Amino acid sequence: MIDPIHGSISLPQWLIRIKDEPPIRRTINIKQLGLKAWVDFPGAIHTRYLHSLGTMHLAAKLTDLLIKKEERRSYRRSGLLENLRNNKNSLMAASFFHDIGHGPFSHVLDYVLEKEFHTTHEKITCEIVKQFKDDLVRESIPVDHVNNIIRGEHDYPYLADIVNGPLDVDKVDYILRDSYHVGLKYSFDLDHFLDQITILGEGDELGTFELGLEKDLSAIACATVFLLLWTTMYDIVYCIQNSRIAEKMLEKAILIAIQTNKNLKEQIRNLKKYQSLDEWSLMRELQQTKGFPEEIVSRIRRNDLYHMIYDEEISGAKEEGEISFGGLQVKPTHRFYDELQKRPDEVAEELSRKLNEGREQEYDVICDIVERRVPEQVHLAEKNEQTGEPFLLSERSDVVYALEQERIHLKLYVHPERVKDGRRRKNKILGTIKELLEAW
Amino acid sequence: MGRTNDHNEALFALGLLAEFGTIEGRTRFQKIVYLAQRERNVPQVFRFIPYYYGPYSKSLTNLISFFKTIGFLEERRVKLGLDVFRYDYSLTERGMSFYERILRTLGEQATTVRSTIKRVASELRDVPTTVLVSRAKKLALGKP
Repeated sequence: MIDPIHGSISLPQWLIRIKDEPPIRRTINIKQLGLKAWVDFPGAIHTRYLHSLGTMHLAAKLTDLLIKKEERRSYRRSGLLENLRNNKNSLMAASFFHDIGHGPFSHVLDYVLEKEFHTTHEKITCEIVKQFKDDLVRESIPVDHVNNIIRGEHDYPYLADIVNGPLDVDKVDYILRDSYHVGLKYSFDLDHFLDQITILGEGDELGTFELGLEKDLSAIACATVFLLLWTTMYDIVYCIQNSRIAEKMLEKAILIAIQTNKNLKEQIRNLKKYQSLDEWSLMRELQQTKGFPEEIVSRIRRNDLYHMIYDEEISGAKEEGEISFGGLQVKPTHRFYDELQKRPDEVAEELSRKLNEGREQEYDVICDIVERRVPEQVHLAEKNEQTGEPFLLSERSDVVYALEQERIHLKLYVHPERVKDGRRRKNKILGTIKELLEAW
Repeated sequence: MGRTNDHNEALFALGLLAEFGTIEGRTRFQKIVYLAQRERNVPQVFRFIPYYYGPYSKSLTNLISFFKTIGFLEERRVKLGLDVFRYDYSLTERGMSFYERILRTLGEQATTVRSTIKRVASELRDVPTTVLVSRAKKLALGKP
């Protein structure tokens, strides 16, 4: 298979056998960046399928590198080499399947799945992997190992870290692939970067080992560049404003549609039917759902989006209140803080619902909470004598420390035909949000 | 602490900072919480992974980061040497007032919560970080 990012990718036997099965072919009809290709980045028509192949290719490459490193060590760690060799196929399978449960338009369906179907795309992924049990077991790949790696809950954390960790091959692939397809000429030396990754651990307790970075300035510099690119991609691609608005519009259209469109609801609820739900079939179902869903699809197609009428950082109070926005000092309940930390999408939806109570249309105003993604902590193979622990990358890199500063924004989007009314009512809306937060 | 709803995490983390004043270093914060959960009568609100250098809780890291973002705690960067830093944590006034606000909602239980956290603080305050790390590591690996 030829890939624009990694060149030639060789497929393992198990994948050659199953690659044309419907759940896998479906990912060819799911664009990696979803609506961003419709709104802001017309070049971003690459698919989840290609990302899966790229991630699998990198998992194999990194595992081989880690095996070579362990072979070269003067004192090998008991059982580690065998463990890596034995699990290479499981790692490749986990990285190939890791996103197979994604819905159409990638993350758009995430909140709908959680709120209305009490599931996640990760859980659906694990269910789909189980369907390929016989094909995987034939190659001595245990399905529960694959799913534990995908969930980041494997008995050997360093294995899960390769696919689902602070510097995993998933991130490496999507940073390179997405930047290439949106047209940003970002790059970094992939081979040099992978060579800086190592397994941290001493003794024979493999269950306590983790993936970290080598002990040298080159590793710090490489990881810093990588995390800087990763954060930048969130700022200028993954959270780009108009695409974000279109994604929220589509999410609300789906939430409304499943109240009346039984066919669509069943297509999401039923695992078998879900596996044939792609971008085209979702848009077709929404277009056939009279009212708000039909209107929203038509607007997205015309790029006639909601307008943003308000955007303010709510993290870090400016004056006396705990949270400040629109000049208001707000003292939210602790239940609100708890929800904001754990379920920001739920908070935004609850606010949207209450702001539109009694209005003609369900979502005249959409409230959105956008959090800046920050890097997870990574350890270096360099011991801090004062604590007896390895250093964290952020203890050795000023740039990574700066990237750790989280920000939370509150945004309001208003229906394109009610922009004037929305701007006029803005202060009233913010007052209502203050009341809601203080009574949460 | 006797409280079973979902605000235990915030209560515990803020309470520790209120009692300790300042907690010097991310590692120290992690080990204090771990040892309090394992050795003292504190609910297991944070899940820890037993890494080779000692137990680590991602949810505690996330909560600290969230409180820093909201402005409830201050993170001070202390230079220890050339390109080597430590991060110290203390409650801000707003963090303290929020902690007091949570305690008020607890009614009589607030006294138990306070005294449990006070006890943890008085027992661990003067223990060096290296000792906390090795104690936590032994406990996590089930070694005596």
